[in-house]
Amino acid sequence: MTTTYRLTEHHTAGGMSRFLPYLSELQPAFFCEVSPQLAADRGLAHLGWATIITARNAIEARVLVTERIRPLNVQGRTLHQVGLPWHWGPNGYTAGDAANELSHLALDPNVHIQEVKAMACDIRPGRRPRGAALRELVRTYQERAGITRETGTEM
Amino acid sequence: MDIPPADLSTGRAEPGLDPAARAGHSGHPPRLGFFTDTSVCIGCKACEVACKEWNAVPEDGLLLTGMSYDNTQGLGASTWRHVAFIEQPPADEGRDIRWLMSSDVCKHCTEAACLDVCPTGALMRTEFGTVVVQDDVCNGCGYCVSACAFGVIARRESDGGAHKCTLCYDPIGDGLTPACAKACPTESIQFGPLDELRERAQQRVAELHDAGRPEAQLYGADPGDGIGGAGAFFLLLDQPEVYGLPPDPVVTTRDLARMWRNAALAAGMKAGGGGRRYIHIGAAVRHRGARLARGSPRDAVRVRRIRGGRRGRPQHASRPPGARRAGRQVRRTGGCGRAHRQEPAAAPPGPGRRTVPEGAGGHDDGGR
Repeated sequence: MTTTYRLTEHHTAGGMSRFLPYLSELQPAFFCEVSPQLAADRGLAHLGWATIITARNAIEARVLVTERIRPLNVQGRTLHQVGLPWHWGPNGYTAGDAANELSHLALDPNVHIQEVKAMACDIRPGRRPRGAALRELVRTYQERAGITRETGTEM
Repeated sequence: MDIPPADLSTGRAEPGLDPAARAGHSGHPPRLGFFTDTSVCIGCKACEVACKEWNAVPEDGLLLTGMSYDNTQGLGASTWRHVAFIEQPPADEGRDIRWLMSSDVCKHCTEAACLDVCPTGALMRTEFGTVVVQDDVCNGCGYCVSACAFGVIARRESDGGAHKCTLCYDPIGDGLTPACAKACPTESIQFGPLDELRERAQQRVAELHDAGRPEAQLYGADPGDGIGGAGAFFLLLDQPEVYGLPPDPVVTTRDLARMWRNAALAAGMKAGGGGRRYIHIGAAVRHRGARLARGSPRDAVRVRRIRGGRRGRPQHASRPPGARRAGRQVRRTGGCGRAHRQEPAAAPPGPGRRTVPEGAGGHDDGGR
């Protein structure tokens, strides 16, 4: 499960802060945060690359293995979390994949802001494929999960 | 101001006098400093950014360090405030990690080794008791870098000069607050007269102790410590070494007087009583050693005079046009120390060269 959040050093999607050298040097790369348990499970190396895949897309991020992230215990089942700051994009002084590429078009029922706090995902070591290979990777995941254009639109 | 100036005719400094007075500032304002209360630091790094903005310190690289959220790593030529993020494992199973955040800065020591060793007088003691590098005087020799007990000052590759926190020498002269303290949203960084800050810090420690935080302690607030007390001191929530601070810092020039005396003795023995050159060096060494032994002024001008020779000349006197540029080029090639040592031998003897007749060597003769 992935969840997104902000860092102190950047502002919203980074359109302003990622172009400023003084802020960019403080948070210089897009990263994902994982627990030591998940890192061991999936062979993720600290400061190495990881690919995070959801039903919508796949992105790549540098890995921070940290005790700050702890696995959740949900009804007796271990649920791992992948933390993603959502400040990056393809332009600016520090560039990286955008966490919002993974998110869905659903609104939080209380305040009707986009719901980006809990998204089912997979994570694996290494950088993501490019171009058509990326679309193919996401398609195989969609197929395995039985996801179609209608998924999530049922009332 | 009731603090008498240091006696410049002898260089004698009374212990306990504040550093500005010892450096020869008479009628100077009270000593100013920082009290960084790390117990309320939230790690926002606003101090780092504000410092760079105000002082036009360059950005120094996009590096993901993987050390918590600290991608700055430490103080350096282009980082004058550094917020350390220290993560400690949870005390008990199921509890969160403990996060210590601390904004580090130049300590503006009472006994500042960087100032002692600076051969050009680029490092100076201001009227506020702070220590400042003058960019236009620094020749980039790097002596201060190894002299600093805290690893604060460093040379910047792009211009070759040494740089560090100036305690915002420009705004504080106008009664304003340094950029980092101004930007700090939690008042973790407090600026003001050092006496006041020390008093406030003691109160804060007492408060924390009463609130069940016995680990709260001050760092650099004791004038009796190895650096004579810091002008920028800290309240820590763990041992200093946890924050990357030396637990018992000592001014690195403390033993210099003894070392010079021994060197003089060795030089004298080697000379065997002959050779004008050895006598010359021995006299100069005795002179300097004696000065340091009796607690020399940390005043850069005096150190420059004691050194004599080429460096003893006032920077502007009889310098041929382009000399400064040539000096910079030498520096960039990285051979500055050697180049400086060779230069006097090649230069024609003139008023700038110091000759000490045998038996002389008592007092400052103005370096000529």
